[in-house]
Amino acid sequence: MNTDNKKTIVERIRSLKSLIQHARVIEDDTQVVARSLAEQYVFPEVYQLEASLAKNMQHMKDILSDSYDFHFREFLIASLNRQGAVVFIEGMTNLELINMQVIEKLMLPPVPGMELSPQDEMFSYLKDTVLSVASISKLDVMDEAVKRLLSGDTLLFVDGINWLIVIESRKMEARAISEPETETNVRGPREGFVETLQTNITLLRRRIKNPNLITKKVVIGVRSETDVAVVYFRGIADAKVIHAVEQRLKKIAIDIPTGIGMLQGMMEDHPYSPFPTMLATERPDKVVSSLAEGKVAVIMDGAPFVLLAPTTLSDFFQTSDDYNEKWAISSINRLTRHVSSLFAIATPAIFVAITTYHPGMLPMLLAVNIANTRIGIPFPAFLEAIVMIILLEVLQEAGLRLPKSIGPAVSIVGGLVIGEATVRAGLVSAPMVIVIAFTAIASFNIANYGHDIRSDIRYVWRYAGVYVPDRSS
Amino acid sequence: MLKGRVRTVLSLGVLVCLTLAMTGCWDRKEIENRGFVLGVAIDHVTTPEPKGQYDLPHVTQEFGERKYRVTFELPRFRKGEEKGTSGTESHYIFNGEGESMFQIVRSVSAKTYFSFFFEDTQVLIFSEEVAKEGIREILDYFLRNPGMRRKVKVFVTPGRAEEILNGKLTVEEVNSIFIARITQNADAIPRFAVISTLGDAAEAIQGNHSFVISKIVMENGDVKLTSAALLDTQGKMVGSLDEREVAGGKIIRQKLKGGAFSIPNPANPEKLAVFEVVEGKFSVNSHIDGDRLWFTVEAELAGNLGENTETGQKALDPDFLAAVEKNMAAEFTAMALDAYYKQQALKADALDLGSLVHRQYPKYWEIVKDRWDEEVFPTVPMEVHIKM
Amino acid sequence: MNPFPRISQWQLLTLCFIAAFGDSMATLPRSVGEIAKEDMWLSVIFGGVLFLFTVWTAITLASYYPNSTCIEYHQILLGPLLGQILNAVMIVLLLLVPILSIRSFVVALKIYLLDVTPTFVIVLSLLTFITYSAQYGLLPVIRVLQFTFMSIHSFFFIVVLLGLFSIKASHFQPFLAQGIMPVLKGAIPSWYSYTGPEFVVCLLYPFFIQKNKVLTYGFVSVLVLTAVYTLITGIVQGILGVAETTRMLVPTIIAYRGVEIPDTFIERLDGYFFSMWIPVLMVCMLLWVYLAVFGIKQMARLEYSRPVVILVCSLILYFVVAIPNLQTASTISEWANYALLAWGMGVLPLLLALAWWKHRR
Repeated sequence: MNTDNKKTIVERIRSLKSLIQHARVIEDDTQVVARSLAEQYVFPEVYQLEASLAKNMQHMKDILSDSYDFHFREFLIASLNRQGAVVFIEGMTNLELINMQVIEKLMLPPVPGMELSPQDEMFSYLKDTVLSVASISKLDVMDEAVKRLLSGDTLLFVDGINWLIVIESRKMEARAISEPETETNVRGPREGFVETLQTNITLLRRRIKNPNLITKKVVIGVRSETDVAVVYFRGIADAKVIHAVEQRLKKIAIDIPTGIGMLQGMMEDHPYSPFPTMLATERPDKVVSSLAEGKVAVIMDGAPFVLLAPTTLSDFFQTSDDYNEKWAISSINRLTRHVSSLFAIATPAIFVAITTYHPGMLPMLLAVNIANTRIGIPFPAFLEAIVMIILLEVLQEAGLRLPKSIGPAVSIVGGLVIGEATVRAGLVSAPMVIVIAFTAIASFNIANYGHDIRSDIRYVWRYAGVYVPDRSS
Repeated sequence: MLKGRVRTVLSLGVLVCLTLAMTGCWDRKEIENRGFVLGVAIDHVTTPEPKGQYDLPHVTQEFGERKYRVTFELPRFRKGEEKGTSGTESHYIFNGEGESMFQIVRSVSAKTYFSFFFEDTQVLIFSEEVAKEGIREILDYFLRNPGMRRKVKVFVTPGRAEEILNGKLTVEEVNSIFIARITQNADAIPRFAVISTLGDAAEAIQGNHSFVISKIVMENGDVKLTSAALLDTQGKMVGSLDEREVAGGKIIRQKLKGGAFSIPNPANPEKLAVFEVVEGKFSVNSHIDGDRLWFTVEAELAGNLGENTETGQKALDPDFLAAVEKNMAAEFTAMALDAYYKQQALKADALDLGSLVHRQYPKYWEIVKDRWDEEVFPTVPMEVHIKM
Repeated sequence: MNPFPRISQWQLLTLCFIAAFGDSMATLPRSVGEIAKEDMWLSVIFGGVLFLFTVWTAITLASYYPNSTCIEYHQILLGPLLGQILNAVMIVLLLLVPILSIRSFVVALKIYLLDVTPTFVIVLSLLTFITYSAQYGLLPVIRVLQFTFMSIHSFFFIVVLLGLFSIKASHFQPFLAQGIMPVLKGAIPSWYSYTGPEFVVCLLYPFFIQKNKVLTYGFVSVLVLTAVYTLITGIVQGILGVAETTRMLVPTIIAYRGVEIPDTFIERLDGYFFSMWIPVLMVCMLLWVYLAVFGIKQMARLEYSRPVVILVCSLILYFVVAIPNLQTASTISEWANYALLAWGMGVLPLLLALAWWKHRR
């Protein structure tokens, strides 16, 4: 009995072991297959830095040679009397610097008395006496080196040593700082963010000369390795928020983040909610004031917008012009925006509700007037409103994506079609056109119109509006 | 718990159902399909009546006579562009004959594609014959059932009430709206009767008071609000007040807010002196001494001499002014007393004097309130003192 | 998930006000006017003064047990069995009020606004809102109430005040014609309009921050309530007169149907009155339902209130639709009024005396 039991247990364990072994074999096989399939894809981390320049060059070619903008130049380093090579990517590097301060300095024979003495360490010799560049560092990992190369730095290989020197020589072509297009202002500053992370951070630093403005870097994108900076005011921002932002950024697993809206979508608490919980802005002054309020900014390389977290509803109703006016006037302006949002939600709904359910709420003459305009309209008011709103949405989208030169044409055609023709043809009543137009304008008023994040709110407002007729009945 | 997708679909379905329930589609009615009843006129059915083959206005009733002819006036909806090409009437008229208001409204409603909507009704007109039989039930029906508002203006007309709604006005306007707008002048012209609204009438009937309804007449496209019909506590018309008595009644009811009055010029009786009342201070009181009850009316009217047809007279002469004031006061006193005596004679207190007693002597009112109009009111004397 | 809710004194004021201000103002002038005649507005004030006493009782009682709800201290005071019975009675009362209020509201709505829509659908849509808002706990409920109070209620008061345009002074006289007794008696039916704050205080006392100010703000809320009710009663009386007020089913609505402000865009008030009244009633009912749910949750020591919300709302739906006619409804609400009066003027003082006696030893 006992031995039987033991036997069966042993047998079972044995069979389990063999199963596991089988599984391992299968796993190995699949990995091999997967590798072979992915052979085309180069992982720089599998290459080692070697002592031979020729081998290193071969590696670099393996990694990069398919691209024509990859350049390398071999030459003799006179002071060391060894072969050397600089590797760089064309267009991202400061060629002048490479020519004058690197290659020239290395190729010229050393000034007498400044030769490399045997006790000198080679890197410090090159750094201290030969190369006259600002930032220089030593690297012994290929992976990291390739990354630096691709961000515009120059690599200097020297024959016979298994490390390399990285010379910072970035020179990016960038858009000049210009007026923010989506958040135009009357009296505020005219600077807007650009696509370069460093410039954007500079824009902030220039306004806040305070060591407590902290910028932290997070790299996002498995393939693209995009830099993202988390910026906050130490001592003002809530540590929990900072932590949450960083953690969520780090958790993002994505190939290439194409825009900052993508990050936003992946960071927010409620992915199903149409309401944004982060505010995107193009204005450095706005970011600065938000930082001072304790918000955390997220800046991504390649995106001219900065995300601010956390955001409340009322933030979407503020503009930086509010702070450049007399308080009373800007308060009234802001109130107008709030009221407009209510109009944007409710006007079509209230109109439909009142005319089809409670015409008693209207003054008698107005009721008769509206009824007059609706004579012969084939649709019920509700459908009329929906159709008009869809029409408006289509027109607006058309106008938004078109080149600037054609844009006005759309609005003219649309205005004519909606405003004139439909009313004349008796398809839509004139008051409904007025109501919808008013709604549209009110919804533009919610904040500066223009980019997707705020238009989210606008859409929600508007569609919520269509739905509401019911409630007020 | 249900699994993933099924659950999502189910919850979405429930959401859609619930939101659909909130739409209240049952009551949807497009605005152009509503029959905005602007005016209602109530007459007796005249016999013999020229009836067509099918006798369309007749309302089939299981029980009851063919007593009232009810006329509804609705605005004619037109597209904006057609407005210039006039010639078409600006209203529709619908008729129904029967006894039950409810059935008449329903049956007339059923003859049109729009359902009648009473919230915008402006006027309610009775013919004198109907008013003499009593309008209490009709008022009550209109107040309760279809949701007419309490501010509907009620009128009595000596002729056929439907004529008022039917007739063509000189002004291009829906008759009822036009009439309702005239009433805005009621304060400025003292001989316009006090405008009674449905609410006032209902309140009077509820509180067992008599009340007045202004009369309306129409001739050659012209409408005039003139004298008033006096209705007793049962809502039956018992008599009328002429324009002078209406003005007098306004003094007692403290409603005289303006208007022009003419008297013979003291210097030259052939000519006129017209006095315009600008403001008036009134104080009407009741007094009890033992069993005796009497009223006092004290009024102080201020105004100016609006017109003097005797030219060449010094209008600022103190003697002349004093004479005008004295004559004017006498005239006003006479007007007030005339109105009062007339109502005493008709045994209908439409001057709110009963409620004045109620307010000032609630205990005494308890004793007399059941026989106020018939027995007590006609015997109560009144003193009128008017200063200018 | 939810942090421990903390209710500030302004939120307390809002809660107390909204709990009382719902459906009953539509019928308050009639029920008071039937007894007190021309002095109906005085009765309303007197009712408010009476109610102050109840609120004082409730707050003093609660302050003996500052960290427990009344569900808990009932059991401490009366023993577990009796205490739970009392709790059950209280929850029945808490459920009765929304049932009756929703019922009479829906009836009014059907007469004056949506005559074809079935009762069931109106109730359902009301309760959908309530179910949705009540299930997330106290904080969301308070937020909804606060938001409504700031926006809807303030607008509603403006609409109410506009009624002043068409009152007639003569409707207020004679003053005290029948002596003081009818005024005092008239306060009894007004109780139904005031009830609410005492339950709010009893159930939510542990969540109030600044417990020393609860009494002040509770009193302020009752005073505001009294002022508003007096105003409404006065306006209705001024527009309709006593005879009409007592004859009408819902005199407040009738009165506001009678108000017309010519030559302004508003012109008529009743539409505005209704469209403001719907949310006002909704949040009031939301609070009552939430209080009942909260009570049940505490009584049964449940961790989640969501199932209770759904259960309670379906119960309310059933009973609202089940009440066969107006007579039954008015009989029930009369009894409910007496029960609430007994609770406020009888049970609470007794409990207070008991607590006082226990603490003295």
